[in-house]
Amino acid sequence: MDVTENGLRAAVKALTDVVAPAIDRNDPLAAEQLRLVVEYLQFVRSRLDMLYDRDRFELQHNLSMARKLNALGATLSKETASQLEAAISEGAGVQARVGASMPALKTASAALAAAVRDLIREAGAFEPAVRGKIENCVLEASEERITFERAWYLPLGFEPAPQELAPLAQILADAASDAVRFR
Amino acid sequence: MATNQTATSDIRDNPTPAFIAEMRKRYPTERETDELLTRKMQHRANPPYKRHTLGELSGNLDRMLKAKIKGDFTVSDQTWFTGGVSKIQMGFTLQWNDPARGSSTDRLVIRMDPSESSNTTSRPREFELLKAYEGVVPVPRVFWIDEDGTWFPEPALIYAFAAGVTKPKAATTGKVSGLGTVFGPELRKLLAPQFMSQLAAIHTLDLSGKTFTTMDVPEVGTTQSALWQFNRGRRIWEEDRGEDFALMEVASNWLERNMPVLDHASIVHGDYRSGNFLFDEASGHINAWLDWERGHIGDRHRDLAWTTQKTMGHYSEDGKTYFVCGLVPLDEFYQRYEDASGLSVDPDRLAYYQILNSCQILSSVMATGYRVSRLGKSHQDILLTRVKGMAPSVSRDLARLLKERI
Repeated sequence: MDVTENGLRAAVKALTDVVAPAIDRNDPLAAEQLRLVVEYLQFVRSRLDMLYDRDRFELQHNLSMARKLNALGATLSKETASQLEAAISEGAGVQARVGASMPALKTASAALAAAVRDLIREAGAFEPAVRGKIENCVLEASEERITFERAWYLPLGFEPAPQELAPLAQILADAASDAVRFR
Repeated sequence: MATNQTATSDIRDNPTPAFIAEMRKRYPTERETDELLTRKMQHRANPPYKRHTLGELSGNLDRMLKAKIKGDFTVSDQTWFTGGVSKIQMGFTLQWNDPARGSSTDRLVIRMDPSESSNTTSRPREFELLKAYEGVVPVPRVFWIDEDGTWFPEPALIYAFAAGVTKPKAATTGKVSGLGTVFGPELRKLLAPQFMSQLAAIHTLDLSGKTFTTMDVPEVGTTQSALWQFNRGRRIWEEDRGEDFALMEVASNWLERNMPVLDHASIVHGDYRSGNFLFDEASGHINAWLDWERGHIGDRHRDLAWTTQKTMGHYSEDGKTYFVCGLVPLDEFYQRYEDASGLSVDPDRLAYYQILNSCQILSSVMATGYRVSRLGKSHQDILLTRVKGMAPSVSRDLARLLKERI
Protein backbone atom coordinates (compact mmCIF):
# COMPACT_ATOMS: atom_id res chain seq x y z
CA MET A 1 0.00 0.00 0.00
CA ASP A 2 1.27 3.47 -0.86
CA VAL A 3 1.86 5.66 2.19
CA THR A 4 2.77 8.93 0.50
CA GLU A 5 -0.28 10.72 1.87
CA ASN A 6 0.64 9.57 5.37
CA GLY A 7 4.19 10.72 4.78
CA LEU A 8 3.10 14.17 3.77
CA ARG A 9 0.84 14.41 6.79
CA ALA A 10 3.75 13.40 9.03
CA ALA A 11 6.08 15.90 7.36
CA VAL A 12 3.62 18.74 7.99
CA LYS A 13 3.21 17.66 11.60
CA ALA A 14 6.96 17.51 12.18
CA LEU A 15 7.54 20.88 10.59
CA THR A 16 4.69 22.47 12.54
CA ASP A 17 5.24 20.84 15.93
CA VAL A 18 9.01 20.52 16.08
CA VAL A 19 10.73 22.73 13.54
CA ALA A 20 8.56 25.86 13.75
CA PRO A 21 9.12 26.47 17.49
CA ALA A 22 12.87 25.99 17.03
CA ILE A 23 13.23 28.73 14.43
CA ASP A 24 15.28 31.72 15.48
CA ARG A 25 12.93 34.65 16.16
CA ASN A 26 15.47 36.91 14.53
CA ASP A 27 15.15 35.05 11.25
CA PRO A 28 11.73 36.02 9.87
CA LEU A 29 12.71 34.72 6.43
CA ALA A 30 13.07 31.21 7.83
CA ALA A 31 9.66 31.43 9.49
CA GLU A 32 8.12 32.69 6.27
CA GLN A 33 9.70 29.90 4.22
CA LEU A 34 8.50 27.28 6.69
CA ARG A 35 4.93 28.53 6.48
CA LEU A 36 5.06 28.42 2.68
CA VAL A 37 6.52 24.90 2.70
CA VAL A 38 3.87 23.61 5.09
CA GLU A 39 1.09 25.15 3.01
CA TYR A 40 2.50 23.69 -0.18
CA LEU A 41 2.79 20.23 1.31
CA GLN A 42 -0.83 20.47 2.43
CA PHE A 43 -1.80 21.51 -1.08
CA VAL A 44 0.06 18.54 -2.61
CA ARG A 45 -1.61 16.23 -0.10
CA SER A 46 -5.02 17.50 -1.14
CA ARG A 47 -4.23 16.77 -4.81
CA LEU A 48 -2.24 13.56 -4.44
CA ASP A 49 -5.04 11.18 -5.40
CA MET A 50 -5.84 13.21 -8.51
CA LEU A 51 -2.42 13.56 -10.13
CA TYR A 52 -3.06 10.75 -12.59
CA ASP A 53 -6.51 12.10 -13.41
CA ARG A 54 -4.92 15.46 -14.03
CA ASP A 55 -2.54 14.07 -16.63
CA ARG A 56 -5.47 12.30 -18.28
CA PHE A 57 -7.44 15.54 -18.26
CA GLU A 58 -4.61 17.51 -19.83
CA LEU A 59 -4.17 15.01 -22.61
CA GLN A 60 -7.90 15.00 -23.29
CA HIS A 61 -7.94 18.82 -23.32
CA ASN A 62 -4.96 19.16 -25.66
CA LEU A 63 -6.25 16.44 -27.95
CA SER A 64 -9.69 17.99 -28.11
CA MET A 65 -8.30 21.43 -28.95
CA ALA A 66 -5.99 20.02 -31.62
CA ARG A 67 -8.84 18.09 -33.24
CA LYS A 68 -11.09 21.14 -33.28
CA LEU A 69 -8.38 23.22 -34.91
CA ASN A 70 -7.61 20.50 -37.42
CA ALA A 71 -11.30 20.28 -38.32
CA LEU A 72 -11.32 23.95 -39.35
CA GLY A 73 -9.46 22.86 -42.47
CA ALA A 74 -7.10 25.84 -42.69
CA THR A 75 -4.36 25.55 -45.27
CA LEU A 76 -1.28 24.91 -43.18
CA SER A 77 2.33 24.47 -44.20
CA LYS A 78 3.23 20.86 -44.86
CA GLU A 79 5.43 20.75 -41.79
CA THR A 80 2.81 22.16 -39.41
CA ALA A 81 0.03 19.99 -40.84
CA SER A 82 2.05 16.78 -40.49
CA GLN A 83 3.19 17.75 -36.97
CA LEU A 84 -0.42 18.30 -35.96
CA GLU A 85 -1.68 15.06 -37.48
CA ALA A 86 1.12 13.05 -35.91
CA ALA A 87 0.47 14.58 -32.49
CA ILE A 88 -3.27 13.87 -32.78
CA SER A 89 -2.64 10.29 -33.83
CA GLU A 90 -0.15 9.67 -31.02
CA GLY A 91 -2.34 11.49 -28.46
CA ALA A 92 -5.42 9.50 -29.42
CA GLY A 93 -3.46 6.27 -29.09
CA VAL A 94 -2.17 7.13 -25.63
CA GLN A 95 -5.59 8.31 -24.51
CA ALA A 96 -7.18 5.04 -25.59
CA ARG A 97 -4.55 2.97 -23.81
CA VAL A 98 -5.81 1.68 -20.46
CA GLY A 99 -3.15 2.26 -17.85
CA ALA A 100 -1.03 4.60 -19.98
CA SER A 101 1.82 5.82 -17.78
CA MET A 102 2.04 9.39 -16.52
CA PRO A 103 5.21 10.10 -18.56
CA ALA A 104 3.44 8.81 -21.69
CA LEU A 105 0.44 11.05 -20.98
CA LYS A 106 2.70 14.07 -20.39
CA THR A 107 4.75 13.46 -23.53
CA ALA A 108 1.68 13.13 -25.71
CA SER A 109 0.19 16.31 -24.17
CA ALA A 110 3.41 18.24 -24.79
CA ALA A 111 3.51 17.16 -28.44
CA LEU A 112 -0.08 18.26 -28.97
CA ALA A 113 0.49 21.62 -27.26
CA ALA A 114 3.61 22.22 -29.36
CA ALA A 115 1.74 21.41 -32.57
CA VAL A 116 -1.07 23.79 -31.60
CA ARG A 117 1.50 26.48 -30.77
CA ASP A 118 3.04 26.23 -34.23
CA LEU A 119 -0.36 26.29 -35.87
CA ILE A 120 -1.38 29.48 -34.04
CA ARG A 121 1.92 31.15 -34.87
CA GLU A 122 1.45 30.30 -38.52
CA ALA A 123 -2.12 31.57 -38.39
CA GLY A 124 -0.79 35.01 -37.44
CA ALA A 125 -0.05 35.53 -41.14
CA PHE A 126 -3.37 34.13 -42.43
CA GLU A 127 -6.12 36.29 -43.87
CA PRO A 128 -8.33 37.71 -41.07
CA ALA A 129 -11.38 35.46 -41.49
CA VAL A 130 -9.41 32.21 -41.23
CA ARG A 131 -7.17 33.56 -38.51
CA GLY A 132 -10.25 34.69 -36.56
CA LYS A 133 -11.76 31.21 -36.72
CA ILE A 134 -8.57 29.65 -35.42
CA GLU A 135 -8.09 32.17 -32.63
CA ASN A 136 -11.73 32.00 -31.54
CA CYS A 137 -11.55 28.23 -31.52
CA VAL A 138 -8.59 28.42 -29.12
CA LEU A 139 -10.37 30.92 -26.89
CA GLU A 140 -13.45 28.70 -26.67
CA ALA A 141 -11.45 25.55 -26.06
CA SER A 142 -9.27 27.23 -23.41
CA GLU A 143 -12.22 27.70 -21.08
CA GLU A 144 -12.11 24.04 -20.10
CA ARG A 145 -8.48 24.25 -19.00
CA ILE A 146 -8.96 27.55 -17.21
CA THR A 147 -11.94 26.25 -15.24
CA PHE A 148 -10.07 23.09 -14.33
CA GLU A 149 -6.99 25.00 -13.16
CA ARG A 150 -9.05 27.47 -11.14
CA ALA A 151 -10.46 24.50 -9.24
CA TRP A 152 -7.09 22.74 -9.02
CA TYR A 153 -5.28 25.71 -7.47
CA LEU A 154 -8.19 26.84 -5.31
CA PRO A 155 -6.51 25.95 -1.98
CA LEU A 156 -3.65 28.37 -2.75
CA GLY A 157 -5.98 31.33 -2.30
CA PHE A 158 -5.61 33.28 -5.56
CA GLU A 159 -9.10 32.63 -6.93
CA PRO A 160 -11.28 35.76 -6.82
CA ALA A 161 -14.60 33.93 -7.38
CA PRO A 162 -14.43 30.50 -5.72
CA GLN A 163 -18.21 30.32 -5.43
CA GLU A 164 -18.46 29.96 -9.22
CA LEU A 165 -16.53 26.70 -9.31
CA ALA A 166 -17.84 23.14 -9.34
CA PRO A 167 -15.95 20.62 -7.18
CA LEU A 168 -12.69 19.49 -8.76
CA ALA A 169 -13.74 15.84 -8.79
CA GLN A 170 -16.84 16.74 -10.77
CA ILE A 171 -14.84 18.75 -13.32
CA LEU A 172 -12.49 15.82 -13.80
CA ALA A 173 -15.37 13.35 -14.08
CA ASP A 174 -17.13 15.52 -16.68
CA ALA A 175 -13.94 15.79 -18.71
CA ALA A 176 -13.41 12.02 -18.51
CA SER A 177 -16.91 11.31 -19.78
CA ASP A 178 -16.36 13.79 -22.65
CA ALA A 179 -13.18 11.94 -23.53
CA VAL A 180 -15.10 8.67 -23.81
CA ARG A 181 -17.90 10.30 -25.80
CA PHE A 182 -15.58 11.88 -28.38
CA ARG A 183 -13.08 9.04 -28.68
CA MET B 1 -0.10 21.64 -17.29
CA ALA B 2 1.64 18.42 -18.18
CA THR B 3 3.24 19.88 -21.24
CA ASN B 4 6.57 20.47 -19.56
CA GLN B 5 9.47 19.49 -21.67
CA THR B 6 11.49 16.60 -20.35
CA ALA B 7 14.35 17.51 -18.06
CA THR B 8 17.04 16.20 -20.35
CA SER B 9 15.87 17.94 -23.50
CA ASP B 10 15.10 21.42 -22.23
CA ILE B 11 17.56 23.85 -23.77
CA ARG B 12 16.29 26.58 -21.47
CA ASP B 13 18.06 24.96 -18.51
CA ASN B 14 21.42 25.32 -20.22
CA PRO B 15 20.99 27.65 -23.19
CA THR B 16 23.53 27.58 -25.98
CA PRO B 17 25.05 30.78 -27.37
CA ALA B 18 23.02 30.14 -30.53
CA PHE B 19 19.75 29.97 -28.55
CA ILE B 20 20.60 33.20 -26.71
CA ALA B 21 21.52 34.93 -29.96
CA GLU B 22 18.27 33.78 -31.54
CA MET B 23 16.22 35.27 -28.68
CA ARG B 24 18.05 38.59 -28.98
CA LYS B 25 17.50 38.69 -32.73
CA ARG B 26 13.89 37.65 -32.64
CA TYR B 27 12.78 40.01 -29.85
CA PRO B 28 14.62 43.35 -30.00
CA THR B 29 13.92 45.54 -26.98
CA GLU B 30 15.50 48.28 -24.88
CA ARG B 31 19.28 48.16 -24.73
CA GLU B 32 19.52 47.59 -20.98
CA THR B 33 16.71 45.03 -20.97
CA ASP B 34 18.53 43.12 -23.68
CA GLU B 35 21.74 43.15 -21.62
CA LEU B 36 19.95 41.97 -18.48
CA LEU B 37 18.12 39.12 -20.21
CA THR B 38 21.28 38.07 -22.02
CA ARG B 39 23.20 38.01 -18.73
CA LYS B 40 20.39 35.98 -17.16
CA MET B 41 20.64 33.34 -19.87
CA GLN B 42 24.43 33.28 -19.81
CA HIS B 43 24.35 32.64 -16.05
CA ARG B 44 21.50 30.13 -16.15
CA ALA B 45 23.62 27.00 -16.02
CA ASN B 46 25.52 28.30 -12.98
CA PRO B 47 24.90 26.54 -9.65
CA PRO B 48 21.67 27.11 -7.68
CA TYR B 49 21.31 30.05 -5.32
CA LYS B 50 22.84 29.43 -1.92
CA ARG B 51 21.47 31.40 0.97
CA HIS B 52 23.72 34.17 2.23
CA THR B 53 24.00 34.68 5.97
CA LEU B 54 23.62 38.06 7.63
CA GLY B 55 27.33 37.81 8.42
CA GLU B 56 28.27 37.26 4.78
CA LEU B 57 26.16 40.18 3.56
CA SER B 58 27.56 42.34 6.35
CA GLY B 59 31.06 41.50 5.13
CA ASN B 60 30.11 42.52 1.58
CA LEU B 61 28.60 45.72 2.96
CA ASP B 62 31.69 46.51 5.00
CA ARG B 63 33.92 46.22 1.93
CA MET B 64 31.60 48.42 -0.12
CA LEU B 65 31.33 51.12 2.54
CA LYS B 66 35.12 51.22 2.93
CA ALA B 67 35.28 52.09 -0.76
CA LYS B 68 32.45 54.61 -0.60
CA ILE B 69 32.88 56.39 2.75
CA LYS B 70 35.81 58.53 3.87
CA GLY B 71 36.41 58.03 7.57
CA ASP B 72 35.11 55.65 10.20
CA PHE B 73 31.68 54.07 10.23
CA THR B 74 29.78 51.50 12.23
CA VAL B 75 27.19 49.03 10.98
CA SER B 76 24.73 47.48 13.44
CA ASP B 77 21.23 45.98 13.83
CA GLN B 78 21.35 43.85 10.67
CA THR B 79 17.99 42.16 10.06
CA TRP B 80 16.26 40.38 7.21
CA PHE B 81 13.16 41.93 5.69
CA THR B 82 10.36 39.60 4.69
CA GLY B 83 7.83 40.12 1.93
CA GLY B 84 10.25 40.57 -0.94
CA VAL B 85 9.44 38.14 -3.73
CA SER B 86 12.02 39.11 -6.27
CA LYS B 87 14.80 40.72 -4.21
CA ILE B 88 16.76 39.92 -1.06
CA GLN B 89 16.52 42.72 1.49
CA MET B 90 18.56 43.35 4.65
CA GLY B 91 18.08 46.28 7.01
CA PHE B 92 20.96 47.84 8.98
CA THR B 93 21.89 50.96 10.93
CA LEU B 94 24.87 53.03 9.78
CA GLN B 95 26.71 55.54 11.95
CA TRP B 96 28.98 57.63 9.75
CA ASN B 97 30.12 61.08 8.78
CA ASP B 98 27.94 62.19 5.87
CA PRO B 99 29.78 64.97 3.97
CA ALA B 100 26.46 66.81 3.54
CA ARG B 101 25.07 66.42 7.07
CA GLY B 102 28.02 65.65 9.33
CA SER B 103 27.79 62.94 11.94
CA SER B 104 24.74 60.85 11.03
CA THR B 105 22.86 57.72 12.03
CA ASP B 106 20.75 56.20 9.25
CA ARG B 107 18.54 53.14 9.05
CA LEU B 108 19.19 51.72 5.58
CA VAL B 109 18.17 48.80 3.37
CA ILE B 110 20.26 46.66 1.01
CA ARG B 111 18.23 45.43 -1.94
CA MET B 112 20.03 42.70 -3.86
CA ASP B 113 19.18 40.28 -6.66
CA PRO B 114 19.22 36.54 -6.03
CA SER B 115 21.03 34.40 -8.64
CA GLU B 116 17.97 34.65 -10.86
CA SER B 117 14.86 36.54 -9.98
CA SER B 118 11.17 36.23 -10.73
CA ASN B 119 11.64 39.56 -12.46
CA THR B 120 14.90 40.30 -14.26
CA THR B 121 15.38 43.99 -13.64
CA SER B 122 18.12 46.53 -13.09
CA ARG B 123 19.35 48.04 -9.84
CA PRO B 124 21.02 50.93 -11.73
CA ARG B 125 17.66 51.76 -13.31
CA GLU B 126 15.96 51.66 -9.93
CA PHE B 127 18.71 53.95 -8.61
CA GLU B 128 18.19 56.43 -11.44
CA LEU B 129 14.43 56.46 -11.02
CA LEU B 130 14.58 57.00 -7.27
CA LYS B 131 17.02 59.88 -7.82
CA ALA B 132 14.79 61.39 -10.52
CA TYR B 133 11.74 61.44 -8.24
CA GLU B 134 13.39 62.85 -5.10
CA GLY B 135 11.19 65.81 -4.17
CA VAL B 136 8.53 64.93 -6.77
CA VAL B 137 6.81 62.03 -5.04
CA PRO B 138 7.74 60.38 -1.75
CA VAL B 139 10.65 57.99 -2.37
CA PRO B 140 13.40 56.69 -0.10
CA ARG B 141 16.71 58.52 -0.42
CA VAL B 142 19.20 56.39 -2.37
CA PHE B 143 22.73 56.22 -1.06
CA TRP B 144 24.91 53.83 -3.03
CA ILE B 145 24.79 51.21 -5.73
CA ASP B 146 26.87 48.16 -6.56
CA GLU B 147 26.05 48.07 -10.26
CA ASP B 148 27.74 44.86 -11.25
CA GLY B 149 28.32 42.88 -8.07
CA THR B 150 31.76 44.33 -7.28
CA TRP B 151 31.22 43.99 -3.54
CA PHE B 152 28.03 41.92 -3.25
CA PRO B 153 27.37 38.54 -4.89
CA GLU B 154 24.88 40.22 -7.25
CA PRO B 155 24.03 43.85 -8.11
CA ALA B 156 22.68 45.71 -5.07
CA LEU B 157 21.18 49.02 -4.09
CA ILE B 158 21.31 50.79 -0.72
CA TYR B 159 18.56 53.20 0.22
CA ALA B 160 16.95 54.73 3.30
CA PHE B 161 14.52 52.66 5.31
CA ALA B 162 11.06 54.19 4.99
CA ALA B 163 8.73 53.93 7.94
CA GLY B 164 5.10 52.97 7.54
CA VAL B 165 2.77 50.11 6.70
CA THR B 166 1.43 48.74 3.42
CA LYS B 167 -1.98 47.89 4.87
CA PRO B 168 -3.90 48.82 8.00
CA LYS B 169 -2.83 46.93 11.09
CA ALA B 170 -6.25 47.33 12.60
CA ALA B 171 -9.01 45.15 11.19
CA THR B 172 -11.43 46.98 8.92
CA THR B 173 -15.13 46.52 9.36
CA GLY B 174 -17.58 45.23 6.79
CA LYS B 175 -17.27 42.26 4.47
CA VAL B 176 -15.91 43.00 1.02
CA SER B 177 -15.08 40.74 -1.88
CA GLY B 178 -11.80 40.72 -3.77
CA LEU B 179 -8.12 40.07 -3.19
CA GLY B 180 -6.84 43.65 -2.87
CA THR B 181 -5.93 45.57 0.26
CA VAL B 182 -8.92 46.79 2.29
CA PHE B 183 -8.20 50.25 3.70
CA GLY B 184 -11.68 51.12 4.91
CA PRO B 185 -13.59 54.40 4.38
CA GLU B 186 -11.48 56.70 6.59
CA LEU B 187 -8.10 55.75 5.16
CA ARG B 188 -9.51 55.69 1.65
CA LYS B 189 -10.49 59.33 2.06
CA LEU B 190 -6.97 60.27 3.11
CA LEU B 191 -4.95 58.06 0.77
CA ALA B 192 -6.91 58.27 -2.48
CA PRO B 193 -6.07 61.91 -3.34
CA GLN B 194 -2.37 61.25 -2.79
CA PHE B 195 -2.58 58.05 -4.79
CA MET B 196 -4.04 59.90 -7.77
CA SER B 197 -1.88 63.03 -7.62
CA GLN B 198 1.33 61.03 -7.22
CA LEU B 199 0.51 58.82 -10.20
CA ALA B 200 -0.09 61.98 -12.22
CA ALA B 201 3.20 63.47 -10.96
CA ILE B 202 5.10 60.37 -12.07
CA HIS B 203 3.62 60.48 -15.56
CA THR B 204 4.07 64.20 -16.06
CA LEU B 205 7.68 64.51 -14.95
CA ASP B 206 9.39 66.71 -17.52
CA LEU B 207 11.91 64.52 -19.32
CA SER B 208 13.33 67.25 -21.53
CA GLY B 209 16.12 68.27 -19.16
CA LYS B 210 16.93 64.81 -17.92
CA THR B 211 19.43 62.25 -19.09
CA PHE B 212 19.07 58.61 -18.15
CA THR B 213 21.83 56.14 -18.77
CA THR B 214 19.70 53.04 -18.19
CA MET B 215 16.49 53.83 -20.09
CA ASP B 216 15.96 54.31 -23.80
CA VAL B 217 13.36 56.84 -24.92
CA PRO B 218 10.83 55.47 -27.40
CA GLU B 219 9.87 57.68 -30.28
CA VAL B 220 6.54 59.48 -29.96
CA GLY B 221 4.29 58.96 -32.98
CA THR B 222 5.52 55.39 -33.49
CA THR B 223 4.75 51.95 -32.05
CA GLN B 224 8.28 51.55 -30.68
CA SER B 225 7.21 51.81 -27.03
CA ALA B 226 4.63 49.02 -27.36
CA LEU B 227 7.05 46.93 -29.42
CA TRP B 228 9.78 47.08 -26.76
CA GLN B 229 7.39 46.04 -24.01
CA PHE B 230 5.77 43.34 -26.14
CA ASN B 231 9.16 41.92 -27.11
CA ARG B 232 10.39 42.01 -23.54
CA GLY B 233 7.44 39.91 -22.36
CA ARG B 234 7.58 37.61 -25.34
CA ARG B 235 11.30 37.03 -24.95
CA ILE B 236 10.92 36.18 -21.27
CA TRP B 237 8.18 33.70 -22.13
CA GLU B 238 10.38 32.05 -24.74
CA GLU B 239 13.46 31.98 -22.53
CA ASP B 240 11.80 30.65 -19.40
CA ARG B 241 8.71 28.61 -20.22
CA GLY B 242 8.41 24.94 -19.42
CA GLU B 243 5.19 24.45 -21.33
CA ASP B 244 3.24 25.68 -24.31
CA PHE B 245 0.03 27.58 -23.74
CA ALA B 246 -2.28 28.20 -26.70
CA LEU B 247 -3.94 31.23 -25.10
CA MET B 248 -0.60 33.03 -24.87
CA GLU B 249 0.01 32.41 -28.55
CA VAL B 250 -3.35 33.93 -29.50
CA ALA B 251 -2.63 36.91 -27.26
CA SER B 252 0.78 37.38 -28.86
CA ASN B 253 -0.73 37.36 -32.34
CA TRP B 254 -3.24 40.00 -31.28
CA LEU B 255 -0.67 42.18 -29.51
CA GLU B 256 1.66 42.07 -32.49
CA ARG B 257 -0.97 43.30 -34.94
CA ASN B 258 -2.54 45.96 -32.68
CA MET B 259 0.39 47.93 -31.30
CA PRO B 260 -0.69 51.46 -30.36
CA VAL B 261 1.20 54.58 -31.36
CA LEU B 262 2.77 56.46 -28.46
CA ASP B 263 1.23 59.92 -27.99
CA HIS B 264 3.31 61.07 -25.01
CA ALA B 265 6.44 59.61 -23.43
CA SER B 266 6.09 59.25 -19.66
CA ILE B 267 8.07 57.53 -17.01
CA VAL B 268 6.02 54.47 -16.12
CA HIS B 269 6.39 53.19 -12.55
CA GLY B 270 5.60 49.65 -13.62
CA ASP B 271 4.05 48.38 -10.39
CA TYR B 272 1.90 51.26 -9.12
CA ARG B 273 -0.55 49.68 -6.67
CA SER B 274 -1.45 49.26 -3.04
CA GLY B 275 1.22 47.19 -1.34
CA ASN B 276 3.97 49.22 -2.99
CA PHE B 277 3.57 52.38 -0.96
CA LEU B 278 4.21 52.83 2.74
CA PHE B 279 1.94 55.10 4.73
CA ASP B 280 1.55 56.37 8.27
CA GLU B 281 -1.59 54.78 9.63
CA ALA B 282 -2.40 57.61 12.04
CA SER B 283 -2.16 60.49 9.56
CA GLY B 284 -2.87 58.62 6.33
CA HIS B 285 0.25 60.19 4.79
CA ILE B 286 2.10 58.26 2.07
CA ASN B 287 5.75 58.12 3.13
CA ALA B 288 7.36 56.31 0.20
CA TRP B 289 6.76 54.65 -3.15
CA LEU B 290 8.81 51.48 -3.53
CA ASP B 291 9.54 48.81 -6.15
CA TRP B 292 10.48 50.88 -9.17
CA GLU B 293 12.23 47.94 -10.79
CA ARG B 294 9.70 47.60 -13.62
CA GLY B 295 10.02 51.30 -14.44
CA HIS B 296 10.63 52.47 -17.99
CA ILE B 297 9.93 55.33 -20.35
CA GLY B 298 6.82 54.59 -22.34
CA ASP B 299 3.04 54.68 -22.39
CA ARG B 300 1.16 55.81 -19.27
CA HIS B 301 -1.61 53.36 -20.18
CA ARG B 302 0.74 50.57 -19.12
CA ASP B 303 0.49 51.87 -15.52
CA LEU B 304 -3.22 52.65 -15.75
CA ALA B 305 -3.99 49.13 -16.95
CA TRP B 306 -1.79 47.63 -14.24
CA THR B 307 -3.22 49.68 -11.40
CA THR B 308 -6.83 48.93 -12.34
CA GLN B 309 -6.41 45.14 -12.54
CA LYS B 310 -9.24 43.35 -10.80
CA THR B 311 -6.95 41.34 -8.52
CA MET B 312 -5.57 44.51 -6.96
CA GLY B 313 -8.79 46.00 -5.67
CA HIS B 314 -12.08 44.97 -4.14
CA TYR B 315 -15.80 45.61 -4.17
CA SER B 316 -17.52 47.72 -1.53
CA GLU B 317 -19.50 46.33 1.34
CA ASP B 318 -22.72 46.52 -0.72
CA GLY B 319 -21.02 44.93 -3.75
CA LYS B 320 -21.88 47.89 -5.99
CA THR B 321 -18.63 49.83 -6.17
CA TYR B 322 -15.27 48.49 -7.30
CA PHE B 323 -12.37 50.27 -5.64
CA VAL B 324 -9.18 50.44 -7.69
CA CYS B 325 -6.39 49.22 -5.39
CA GLY B 326 -8.93 49.47 -2.56
CA LEU B 327 -8.84 53.26 -2.86
CA VAL B 328 -10.68 54.90 -5.76
CA PRO B 329 -14.04 53.95 -7.30
CA LEU B 330 -13.39 52.63 -10.81
CA ASP B 331 -16.02 54.88 -12.39
CA GLU B 332 -14.14 57.93 -11.02
CA PHE B 333 -10.60 56.70 -11.51
CA TYR B 334 -9.92 57.73 -15.12
CA GLN B 335 -11.58 61.12 -14.84
CA ARG B 336 -9.66 61.89 -11.68
CA TYR B 337 -6.45 60.84 -13.43
CA GLU B 338 -7.17 63.08 -16.42
CA ASP B 339 -7.95 65.99 -14.11
CA ALA B 340 -4.78 65.49 -12.10
CA SER B 341 -2.40 64.87 -14.99
CA GLY B 342 -3.86 66.79 -17.92
CA LEU B 343 -3.26 63.63 -19.96
CA SER B 344 -6.04 61.76 -21.72
CA VAL B 345 -7.07 58.14 -21.17
CA ASP B 346 -7.63 56.26 -24.42
CA PRO B 347 -9.79 53.12 -24.05
CA ASP B 348 -8.06 51.35 -26.96
CA ARG B 349 -4.59 51.93 -25.60
CA LEU B 350 -5.85 50.90 -22.17
CA ALA B 351 -7.21 47.64 -23.58
CA TYR B 352 -3.92 46.94 -25.34
CA TYR B 353 -1.97 47.26 -22.13
CA GLN B 354 -4.53 45.24 -20.17
CA ILE B 355 -3.83 42.37 -22.55
CA LEU B 356 -0.08 42.95 -22.52
CA ASN B 357 -0.02 43.12 -18.71
CA SER B 358 -1.95 39.85 -18.45
CA CYS B 359 0.63 38.23 -20.70
CA GLN B 360 3.48 39.66 -18.64
CA ILE B 361 1.96 38.30 -15.45
CA LEU B 362 1.49 34.90 -17.08
CA SER B 363 5.11 35.00 -18.21
CA SER B 364 6.18 35.65 -14.63
CA VAL B 365 4.00 33.09 -12.87
CA MET B 366 3.99 30.33 -15.51
CA ALA B 367 7.37 30.69 -17.19
CA THR B 368 9.88 32.49 -14.97
CA GLY B 369 8.44 31.10 -11.73
CA TYR B 370 8.72 27.61 -13.15
CA ARG B 371 12.27 28.01 -14.43
CA VAL B 372 13.70 29.77 -11.37
CA SER B 373 12.21 27.30 -8.90
CA ARG B 374 13.10 24.30 -11.07
CA LEU B 375 16.76 25.37 -11.07
CA GLY B 376 16.75 26.59 -7.45
CA LYS B 377 17.88 30.06 -8.41
CA SER B 378 16.26 32.29 -5.80
CA HIS B 379 15.57 32.81 -2.12
CA GLN B 380 11.84 32.36 -2.82
CA ASP B 381 11.64 29.20 -4.91
CA ILE B 382 8.74 27.82 -2.88
CA LEU B 383 6.78 31.04 -3.34
CA LEU B 384 7.51 31.09 -7.07
CA THR B 385 6.11 27.57 -7.29
CA ARG B 386 3.00 28.65 -5.45
CA VAL B 387 2.25 31.68 -7.65
CA LYS B 388 1.43 29.31 -10.53
CA GLY B 389 -1.92 29.36 -8.76
CA MET B 390 -2.48 32.90 -10.06
CA ALA B 391 -2.34 31.76 -13.69
CA PRO B 392 -5.93 30.54 -14.13
CA SER B 393 -7.63 33.73 -12.93
CA VAL B 394 -5.27 35.87 -15.03
CA SER B 395 -5.90 33.55 -18.00
CA ARG B 396 -9.63 33.93 -17.55
CA ASP B 397 -9.36 37.72 -17.64
CA LEU B 398 -7.08 37.53 -20.66
CA ALA B 399 -9.47 35.24 -22.54
CA ARG B 400 -12.36 37.62 -21.81
CA LEU B 401 -10.41 40.62 -23.08
CA LEU B 402 -9.42 38.80 -26.26
CA LYS B 403 -12.95 37.55 -26.93
CA GLU B 404 -14.14 41.14 -27.04
CA ARG B 405 -11.60 41.96 -29.74
CA ILE B 406 -11.10 38.91 -31.97
